[in-house]
Amino acid sequence: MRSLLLYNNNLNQEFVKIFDVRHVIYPSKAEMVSEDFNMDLFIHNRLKEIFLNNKFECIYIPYTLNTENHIEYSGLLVALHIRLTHAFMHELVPIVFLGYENAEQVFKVTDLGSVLFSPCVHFLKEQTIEAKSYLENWMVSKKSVLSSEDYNRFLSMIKINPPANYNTHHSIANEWSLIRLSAMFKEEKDPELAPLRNKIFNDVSQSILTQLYFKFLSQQRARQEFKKDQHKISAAINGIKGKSVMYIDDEGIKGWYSMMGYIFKKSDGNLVCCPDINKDLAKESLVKKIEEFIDSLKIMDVYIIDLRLHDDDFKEEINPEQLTGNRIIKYITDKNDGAQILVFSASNKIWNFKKAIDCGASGYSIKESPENFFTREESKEVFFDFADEVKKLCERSFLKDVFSQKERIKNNFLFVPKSTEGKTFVAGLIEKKGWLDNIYELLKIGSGETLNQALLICFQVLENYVQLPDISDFGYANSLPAGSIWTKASGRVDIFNSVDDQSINTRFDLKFDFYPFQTEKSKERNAPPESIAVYDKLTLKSAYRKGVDVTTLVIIIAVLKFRHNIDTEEIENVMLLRYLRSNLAAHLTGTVDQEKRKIAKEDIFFMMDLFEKLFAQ
Amino acid sequence: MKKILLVEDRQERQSQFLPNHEQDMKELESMSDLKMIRGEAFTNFIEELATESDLTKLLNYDLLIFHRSAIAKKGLVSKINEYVQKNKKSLIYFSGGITQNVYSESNYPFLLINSKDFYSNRLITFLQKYSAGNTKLLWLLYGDNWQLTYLLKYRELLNGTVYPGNPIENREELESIIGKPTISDLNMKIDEIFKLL
Repeated sequence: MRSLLLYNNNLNQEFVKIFDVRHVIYPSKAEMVSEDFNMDLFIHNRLKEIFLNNKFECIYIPYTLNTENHIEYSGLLVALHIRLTHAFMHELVPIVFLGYENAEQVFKVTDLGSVLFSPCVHFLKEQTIEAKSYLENWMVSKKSVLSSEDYNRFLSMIKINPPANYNTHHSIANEWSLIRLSAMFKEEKDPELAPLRNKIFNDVSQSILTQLYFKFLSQQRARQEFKKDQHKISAAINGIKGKSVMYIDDEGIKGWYSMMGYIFKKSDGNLVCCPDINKDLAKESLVKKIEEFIDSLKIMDVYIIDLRLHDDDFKEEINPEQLTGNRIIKYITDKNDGAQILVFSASNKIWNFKKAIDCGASGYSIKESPENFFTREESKEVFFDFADEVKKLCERSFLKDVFSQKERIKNNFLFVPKSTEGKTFVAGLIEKKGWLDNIYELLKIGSGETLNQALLICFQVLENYVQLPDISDFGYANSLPAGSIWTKASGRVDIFNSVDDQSINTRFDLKFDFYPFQTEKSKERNAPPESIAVYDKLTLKSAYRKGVDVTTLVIIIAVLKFRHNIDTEEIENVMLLRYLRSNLAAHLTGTVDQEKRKIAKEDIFFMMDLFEKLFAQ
Repeated sequence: MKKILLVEDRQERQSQFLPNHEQDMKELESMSDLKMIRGEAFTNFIEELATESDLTKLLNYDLLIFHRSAIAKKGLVSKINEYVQKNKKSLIYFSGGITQNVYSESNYPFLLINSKDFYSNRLITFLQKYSAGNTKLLWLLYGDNWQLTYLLKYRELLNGTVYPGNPIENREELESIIGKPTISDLNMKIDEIFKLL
């Protein structure tokens, strides 16, 4: 039988000499005090060397490899690495433990002792050639090799606890999902992908993939093999070109910042990562530091935030509202309700999700975790879900601009009316839950119907405004229509006055034409006013039947042009939107072909820009 | 009395891991032979260590306990290792990412321990016992059963194992801790301790 002895100068020397192949497998003092020493990594690397191009039929290991602490029982750790690492190609080989204790005694000291009760594990107390030969003859006669059934039994029997840092500051999902994702990107020839993968595999894989707990979870989940053709995906997220994104994750420097950097670079987006989430800071100091970083930059299109950013967040009794991530979400949305925030977390707890939404988050994407039974196909879906969320939030990033604009209009409001009607109008416009807030809230919902409602409110604002006594004076003089507006300097400007039934002095004329989106049926009637011609001064027009009269549209045009000096092109767009307001948003008159024209959010943006010009400039 | 220094940058974790949380924290804070450098005070302390060439700040302490990741970030691990070896101090490094606790006595007593095992229900008693000068670092891992490791090693030795180093010194050192039990007394004592675990 080709046997291997793994030991550490802690066996009977005559017995050691029986083995043709024997290796000392324990760190020196210099190694164990080094700053990055990890026993799992050490054992993994040593075993990798030992098993390279070697095949053994039986492996002998003393219970312990530490000559200064007999109950460290590190031999069990070595055995479990062999059993749980497919790459070593020895996971089914019988293992013989050397030592005088019995299995029950060892198990009392360490949970790793559970391996001693699993199949194909044998014990040798007497360190003699005879005892070894007897045992090996027995193993040969019994064909002692782990079957697939035995291996499953072994997996169900052993107990391996996660390291403390998986109970506290981050979930194993961080590394797990990072490794899974980086392996799936199809940009094989991309010169930037190879260094990223190397970095992840060096920084993350080396410490994680070599970890016994990680190996245990991987084997336990019996994961699908990776199929190159089926499971490759692109790192690029379509539709987010030019969008600015901030990523805040306490574990970001352990690979996720690099990974996100790659994804957003491939997507032509601009990613900023929140640096230095120091774990040595008190929670309040950490929150302040992150807030300062957020404030140091302009508002982003999207924020991607982990929920648990501080040790305190891992306390079992913590109120989800007090999670550092939720506090940051609230900080951002208190400043700008339209900010788009995606929670990217390993937590799949519904109460954390609900609280994040309460605090103002707009979306939630879960990092893949080995604790869940994700296949490669599902891993793809996890990334697609993340990409969809990012894209969706980028599309909604206009809300932050609308919110800012709404607040800007309120804060810089210049129109100070004297009339009672004017004062009521201003209150209805800028007070909390007033027209401006309503327009924003309707945009936030963002469906076709709410856009119609938003446009109706926009014209309610405009129509009410232009007819205020502080703004215009349209009516009848000697039973004939006439109208004038008040300029900002309180000067009166006549817009038109009727000379008789046939003649009018006017400063502008309406021109009539059909809009391209009008239905054929609507063209059986008169064309609507579609554009204007503006004169330098009041101009006499005879045989006049062109529509300049005491109508709301005429008052709107007059106020926009002669009080606020709005461009003709913009006024003509107001005329178009008013047509849509009357024939699509308020009533379906059948004159608008909805395949060609609907109310769009850009129409509301236009009206908000107009309001800013009217009220805050 | 022996003096102990405990350097931890993540104060929240201390209270989170200690079984009786704030109550244990208060008890630690009240120990006269224990100096704790924590949280934001940690930053200044580490900066000073980084600039001090001979680490005289550590001179008064017999046992030095550090959160390894925190001092590794500042590149202080080698410097502290050299200092501890030269001045024959005892050293404990704890960290969340440590997957296997490791103990060594050669040159100087050293324990590498997972944060959760470090902040266990044994910590306060260990610090009291250590300060009083009547226990080894192993007590933190195994409590009163720490002597088991010596009994098992002595049994191996009696059964023919030759450990590295001077065999006579090895044996004498062990006998200074556990006496000179016969093999049957030894087996009986080992079995007794295992039964109590």
